[in-house]
Amino acid sequence: MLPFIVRRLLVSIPLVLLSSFLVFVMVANAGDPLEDLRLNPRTTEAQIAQAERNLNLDKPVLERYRLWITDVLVEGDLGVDNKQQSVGAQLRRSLFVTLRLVLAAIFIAIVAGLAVGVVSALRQYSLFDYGSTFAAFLFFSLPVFWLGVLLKEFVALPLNDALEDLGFARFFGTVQENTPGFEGGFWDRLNDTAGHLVLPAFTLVVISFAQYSRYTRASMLDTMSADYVRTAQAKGLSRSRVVTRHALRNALIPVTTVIALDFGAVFGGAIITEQVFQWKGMGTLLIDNIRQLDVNMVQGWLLVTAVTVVVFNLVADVLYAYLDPRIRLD
Amino acid sequence: MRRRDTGSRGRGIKVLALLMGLALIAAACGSDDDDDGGGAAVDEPTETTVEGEAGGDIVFAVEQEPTGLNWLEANDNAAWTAYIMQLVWAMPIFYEPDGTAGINEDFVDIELTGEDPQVVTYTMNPDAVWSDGTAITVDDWVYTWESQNCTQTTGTDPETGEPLYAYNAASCFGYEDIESIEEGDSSSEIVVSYSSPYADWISLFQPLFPAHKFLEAGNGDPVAGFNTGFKVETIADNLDLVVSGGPYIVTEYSPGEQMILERNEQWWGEPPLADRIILPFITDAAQQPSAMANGEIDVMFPQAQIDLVDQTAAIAGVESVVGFGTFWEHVDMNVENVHLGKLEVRQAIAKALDRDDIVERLPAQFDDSAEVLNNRIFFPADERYEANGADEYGEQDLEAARALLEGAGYVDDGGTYTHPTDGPLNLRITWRDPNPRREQTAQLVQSQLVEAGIGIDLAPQPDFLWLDSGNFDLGLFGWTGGKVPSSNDSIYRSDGGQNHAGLAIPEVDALFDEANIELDEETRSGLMNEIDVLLWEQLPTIPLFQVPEFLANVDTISNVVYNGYEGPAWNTFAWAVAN
Repeated sequence: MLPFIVRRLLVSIPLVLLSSFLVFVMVANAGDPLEDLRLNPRTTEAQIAQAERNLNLDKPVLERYRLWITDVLVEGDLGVDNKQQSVGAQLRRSLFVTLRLVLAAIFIAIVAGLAVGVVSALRQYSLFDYGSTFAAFLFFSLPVFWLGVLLKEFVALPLNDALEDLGFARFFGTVQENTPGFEGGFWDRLNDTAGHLVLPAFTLVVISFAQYSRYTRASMLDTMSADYVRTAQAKGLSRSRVVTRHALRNALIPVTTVIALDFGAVFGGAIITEQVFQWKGMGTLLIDNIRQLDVNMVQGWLLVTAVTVVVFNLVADVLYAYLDPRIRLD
Repeated sequence: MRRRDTGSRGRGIKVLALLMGLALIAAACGSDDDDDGGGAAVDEPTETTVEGEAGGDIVFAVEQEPTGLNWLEANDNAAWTAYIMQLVWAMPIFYEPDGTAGINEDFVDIELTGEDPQVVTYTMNPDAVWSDGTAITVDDWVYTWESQNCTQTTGTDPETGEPLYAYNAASCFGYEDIESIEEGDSSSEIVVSYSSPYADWISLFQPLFPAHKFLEAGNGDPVAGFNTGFKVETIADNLDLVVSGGPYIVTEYSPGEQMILERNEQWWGEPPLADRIILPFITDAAQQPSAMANGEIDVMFPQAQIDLVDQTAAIAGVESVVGFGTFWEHVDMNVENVHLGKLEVRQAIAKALDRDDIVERLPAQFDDSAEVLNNRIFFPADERYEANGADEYGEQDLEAARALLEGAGYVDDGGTYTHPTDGPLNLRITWRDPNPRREQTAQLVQSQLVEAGIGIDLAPQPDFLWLDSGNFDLGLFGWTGGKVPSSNDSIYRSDGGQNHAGLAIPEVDALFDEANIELDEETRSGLMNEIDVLLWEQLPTIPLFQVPEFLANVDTISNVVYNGYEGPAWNTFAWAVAN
């Protein structure tokens, strides 16, 4: 397995480098990051020229890329953004925010998706099965930005009003991770954090949930029809024992790899969800810096996300081989 | 989660229905609304129905997170940073909703004590101290001046040949005319002497910097303190650097999340009413109305968009106002173009434009008090405003436009005019894309000019590089104006750095020379209006309209007043929470 891992990593490096080059060229040619400065009637030409030099805008794109990649590879320095702020510091901050959201969302999606998938498989063609299938396809089709806005308008606001009418505090937050200016003890803060986490996590959950439930259902059906499962049933083992001790573990193998792949993809920034709920994570960081044509910041985001996707893809493959001894990684 | 004190949405809808019914009855009986025109001012508070009291928190959504707290540094020169920090650092003046400069009498008296040479004397309140107990002294005034007077250099720019200044100040206007700053008869008296007159002297020292903290922020280097000392990452863990000379002090700064201002206990003036001003960074304006409806924010100042304004208007317990600020749209005419180099063509374009129609379709959609802008230097709310363009170009006159073109030798060639030597009168109109408002403006301009036989091609660009390079015929963009009239110098002076139209008018240059050193405000206003009259005669640019701004607050917060010149936070110290 080790040679396989090393080979995969080595192949990934040029892939990441190529991605970084393409994105750099696209963002660098997308517009002028100094337009605000140029439009200020009190800015001197020398200031504009100096700002251009600070951002290497006076150099050709290829030369700019070379300078950037040299700093990254040789010094591990992601540089500064257009406003001379550290790219690394902003990435660290945003990463932590996104991790919190994504981990919560994926955890809920896994638990709910697996449970629903298993039950759907065991009760195939039942009302529950039809219902969960319908829900899965519905959730697949929902545009995330639309869902987020609907949740705010038709879930958070009415429920909060109802809570207030009943004499309770409003619970669901619609922006940011905590109530602005929140002051309170540990449990109050936990409650406040939960209230702000529910809606964005749910928005992220629905699509992942739909995906996991369908995969689990299909995999479970496949496993339940296997010879060894029929043998176990014929031997007189209880249904629950057959499902939990024999079928479920093997059914989860492909689902586990799907989850690993999904984590890498979602981690890149639940861009729309973060925008709608104003979580200043990786997604918001990307959108804001594309708008500002901040090449260094976008490149930093890309590196983090690309490495995450590569790592989790690799984890998915390794996990698959680890869980299924029939698979050999060469 | 904070409780929202206004009623439930259900009760709100019933009240709204009742009010609508009453409004219908009232409309049937009442007279027309008094329309006193638009301008960068609404000097009445939003209609709060309750009186606030001291205490409580006010949550004010911030649409643009600061990149550094020193907004006078060129890289961090953002409007929202100024809105926030004007409550913290000492501010000798503030601009009223009518554009006049108001003196912060809690802090200072200001007097023009000499005209030739120009001398301004600031007499500080003897109790004035920074929040760390350090007295506000002449050192602070000197540092504020030296960091923005563009004298200290590090060499010469290899491309432009211009000097490279050590302090990366956003502007040096005015400060470069100061000769010295010294203590007067006491440590509270600051005497500022000018080497050459500067007419906008009142606008300087806005804010006053705490010199000792800038020095500390730069580890002993005042230049580093100015250029990088107040960046977000430095400040977040070093709030001690951000001392206050105003009603509020920064007590928390979480990058990416929020900033919190609390009442400055060292503030010697009238104490602010609210205990805390909480400033969450909600950078997507579209998310602010739902946050307000959910009781998470109390005041917002998002970019005005029709949908957002309508959505906010439907929220129960929220008041809002649309004002017209100091950012204004206009068309520049590049006189390097063979056609636009002729005055008759520029006049024909001005005659052919129906600016009333443009205003009605665009800014008037927000509020019907929007009006056509007929002055390049002052705004309608300002008493110095004179509608210099109204008489000649106030209404569309296609016949006059055609007569001008024909008088210049153009011939109607099947719908579009053609010049015998200069060819067909086809022009490009360029703007920075994407920008829906400008796109719509350009389309309106096109449809109007086509009626006068002027061919217009829409030619949007993804950036503003076309301005500097002169790669445009008609250029559609905006300027920020209002507070410092002398800043128009670089836009309209013959060799001005921002004179993108490229038209040289020696009489305008002479008038600017005179106006920029004229210390009598009435005389100066007259000179500025003379400049505008000349610009209307020569037409390098055509003003269109002021861009609308939108301010909203829950009705349990009182004294929120729109001020197009100073921004939404100008009187935050007077905002109060109703219990």
